[in-house]
Amino acid sequence: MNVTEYIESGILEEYVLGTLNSQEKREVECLSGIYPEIQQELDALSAGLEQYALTLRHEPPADVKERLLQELDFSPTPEESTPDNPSVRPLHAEPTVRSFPTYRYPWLVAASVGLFLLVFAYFLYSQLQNSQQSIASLRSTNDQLLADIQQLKDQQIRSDQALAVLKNQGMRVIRLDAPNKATRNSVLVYWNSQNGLVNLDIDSLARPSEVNQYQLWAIVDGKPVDAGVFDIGDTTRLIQQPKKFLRADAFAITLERRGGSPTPTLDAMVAIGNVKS
Amino acid sequence: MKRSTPRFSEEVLVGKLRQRDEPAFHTLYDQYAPALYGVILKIVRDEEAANDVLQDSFVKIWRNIPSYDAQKGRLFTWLLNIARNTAIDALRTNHGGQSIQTGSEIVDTIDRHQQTHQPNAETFDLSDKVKKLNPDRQTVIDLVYFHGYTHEEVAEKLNLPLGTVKTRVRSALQELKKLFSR
Repeated sequence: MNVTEYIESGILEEYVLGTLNSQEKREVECLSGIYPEIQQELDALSAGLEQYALTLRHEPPADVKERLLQELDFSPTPEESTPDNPSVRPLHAEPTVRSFPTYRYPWLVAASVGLFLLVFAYFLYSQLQNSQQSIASLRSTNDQLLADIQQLKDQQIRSDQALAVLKNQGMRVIRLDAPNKATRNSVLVYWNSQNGLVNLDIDSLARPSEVNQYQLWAIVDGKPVDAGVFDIGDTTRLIQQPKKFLRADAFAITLERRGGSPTPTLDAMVAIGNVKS
Repeated sequence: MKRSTPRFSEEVLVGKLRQRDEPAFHTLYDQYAPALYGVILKIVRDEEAANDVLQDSFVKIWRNIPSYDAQKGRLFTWLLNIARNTAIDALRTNHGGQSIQTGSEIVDTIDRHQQTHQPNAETFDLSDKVKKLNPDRQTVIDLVYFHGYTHEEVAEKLNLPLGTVKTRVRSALQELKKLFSR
């Protein structure tokens, strides 16, 4: 390296004036440690500025010193704060001089605080995640329970209705079975002979296709009388028929076209049962 | 002159300052406060503010003296840099960008200072030497050193090419070096 050229480049003047960036500053400090000529030139330039500063001498008011003597801490320091081999110190005051000087290593403090906050934030985040998962699982359990309760309630209502119907006076229960015994169609007819109301309790009956519908018939004096059509729902088991019969010998169910038929199609009979049997 | 103080006693002084020795603080203050105050006054141009800056500077010096390394630089230069940085910071926080003045105004300020101050006998010949400094060069040095301007800012302010500013800064410091070398 050409030391003379380096000295004449003007970088040392910039150094003593404090206009270099931190990287260039380190470069000058490093080189001045290696080349005595550079150190010498730096000292000479600094001395020039010092002398210039001395021309500006002006006696400060006495109370500044008084205030300082009150403010500063004159308690003796422990030995370790004055190391035997002082660390590398740049000619220009370090940024720490300008910033909060209580912390010797502000960046270390800042980094520790930052790390702690990061860890704490992560801890809070994972806590939040756990809580949210618990809430989600509790919610689904709750929904399941509500659905179960609703189902039980519905069943309860149906059972109550059936019981209420059965408790009426003059209630008769007629069992309707498949005429040929080959299929296991089974329907109960709750018929109240006093007020004529007819209720159906479907035990097992195949669901018909969309175009067909079951039709109930009452056999009165040997003649079939239309007692209304009905559908087989998913849950409803007890069906009240709209027509009333004060007299009936038997009840039968046929499969008819949707909407019902004025006369029963006898070969489509699915169940029949006598009142007196 | 202060520079004639033996190197040894400066080392002893720094050692005692590190042990927070009160008499050592008196020595430091009495020896350097007038020079630092002059520099601060030149930067902030207000006695009230200068008093505060001088106090802040000595608080910083007191706290940072353990990190001062005599092998890396001269004590007076170190003290000057603390005072200068504190003053420039104070100026920037108090005035924002308003403190910017033109080069000629600075020269006026310098002249006024030198007329109003009654320099003591010791510094009288020094002031004479500074007057020998080329005024253009002095303006550049004052802007950079006492006002914290970058070379680019000086170039913009004085409406000069950046290369010229750099050359003037270098010549000014070389001139100062020669003026004060014995």
